[in-house]
Amino acid sequence: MKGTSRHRRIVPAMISVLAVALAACSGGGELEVTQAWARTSPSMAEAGAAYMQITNGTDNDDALVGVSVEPAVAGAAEIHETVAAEPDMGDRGHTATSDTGAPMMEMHAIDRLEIPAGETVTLEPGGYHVMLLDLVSPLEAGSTIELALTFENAGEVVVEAEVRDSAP
Amino acid sequence: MRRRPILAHATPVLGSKVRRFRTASLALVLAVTLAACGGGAALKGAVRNPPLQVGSVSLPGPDGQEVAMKAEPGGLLLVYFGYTSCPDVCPTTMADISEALTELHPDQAEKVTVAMVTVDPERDTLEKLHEYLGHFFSRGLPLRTEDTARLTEVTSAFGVQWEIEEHEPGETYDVAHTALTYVIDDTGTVRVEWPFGFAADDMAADIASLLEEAEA
Repeated sequence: MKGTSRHRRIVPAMISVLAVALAACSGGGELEVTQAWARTSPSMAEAGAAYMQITNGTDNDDALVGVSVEPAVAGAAEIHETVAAEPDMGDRGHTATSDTGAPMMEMHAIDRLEIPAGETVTLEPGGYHVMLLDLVSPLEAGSTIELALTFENAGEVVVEAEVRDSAP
Repeated sequence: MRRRPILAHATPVLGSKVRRFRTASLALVLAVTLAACGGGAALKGAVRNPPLQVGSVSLPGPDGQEVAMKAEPGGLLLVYFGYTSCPDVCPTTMADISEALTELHPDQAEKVTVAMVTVDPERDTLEKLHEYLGHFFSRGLPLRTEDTARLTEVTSAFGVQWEIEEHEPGETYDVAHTALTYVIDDTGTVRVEWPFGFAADDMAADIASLLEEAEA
C-alpha cells in the first residue's frame, strides 16, 4: 500500500516536470507575435494602422523586414515609425514657427525593424506601426485582419489582428 | 517607388537624432509646467505662462462661416491640427479625446466642441474632414482653408508647425505636424495643452476642472 501512494505522488510530479520542460522548450526557442490589433478607421479614411508585440525568444537576433496584408483589406502595408522632427527651414514645405517651438511629429517607412535576441519590441501608437494604405473598406470593431510578417530568420509569420477602437 | 522625405534628417534609418515623440513632448510639458509653477487650478496638462491668446484668429468652418478660436460661452473648444490620411498619431489622439468625453458627465461633455484644422487641405475636403470627425465625435468641428497665408496665421498663433512631404501630383505623402491638443475657453485663452499620448483620464479631469471653474 505504501508503494502505491508514493507512486501516486511521483507520477503527477513527473508530469508537471515534463510540462514545465516542454513549456520552457517552446518559450525559449521561438519568435512570437502577440496582442496584434488594428484601430477602427473612419469610413472615408484611406489609411489605417496595426500594432503588436514581437518577442524574440531565440538566441539569434532577428529583424522584421516586410509586411503584407490581404488584398481584400488594403492595397499595401508598410512598416512605419513615428518620430519627433526638427523644423526644416527649406522652401519646399510650409513651415510656420514661433518661439514656442512645439515639436512636430512625422512618420516614415523603415526597411527593417531589429528584434534582438531575447527582447520584446512593441509596435504602439506614436512609435512603430504597420501602416495600411488604400483601405478597401473601413476597419470595423470586432472584425479581424490577417497580416503576414516576414522576418529575416524566422521567415513568414501570419498574425490575426483584432480591430478595436483602442489598445487592448 | 519609395517616397522621399523632404527633411534632411528624416532619412529612413534609425539614427541617434531620432527621438521618440513621446519623450520630446513630455520634456516640453515638464518645461512648460515648471515655467507655470504657482498657477491656480491643478491641471494635469501643460499650462503656459503667460497663456496663449488665440481668440482673434479664425478659420472657415462647415458652412464657410468664420469660426473664431474661442469656445461658446461657458464651454471649451479643443483644437487639434492634423490630417485625415494620418494613420497613427491623429486617430490615436481623436480616440483618446473621444474616450475622455465619454468619461465625463453628459452635461459636461455637451459643453465641449472638438475642432480639427487640416494641415493637408489638398486632400482633405471639408466633407472628408467632417466625416472623419464624425467617426469620433457627435460635436466635431472641421476647419479648413486652402490659403496658406491664413493657415500660417492661425498655426503661428498656436506655435504649431507643419510640413508637407515633397511629392509628385497624385502620389501619397505624409505631413509632419505638431500634435498637441489645445484647450481654449470662451475668452480665446489656451488654458491647457495636451501632448500626444496624454491619458484620456487626465484629459477628462482637466476638462471637468475647467468647466467647474467656469461655472463657479
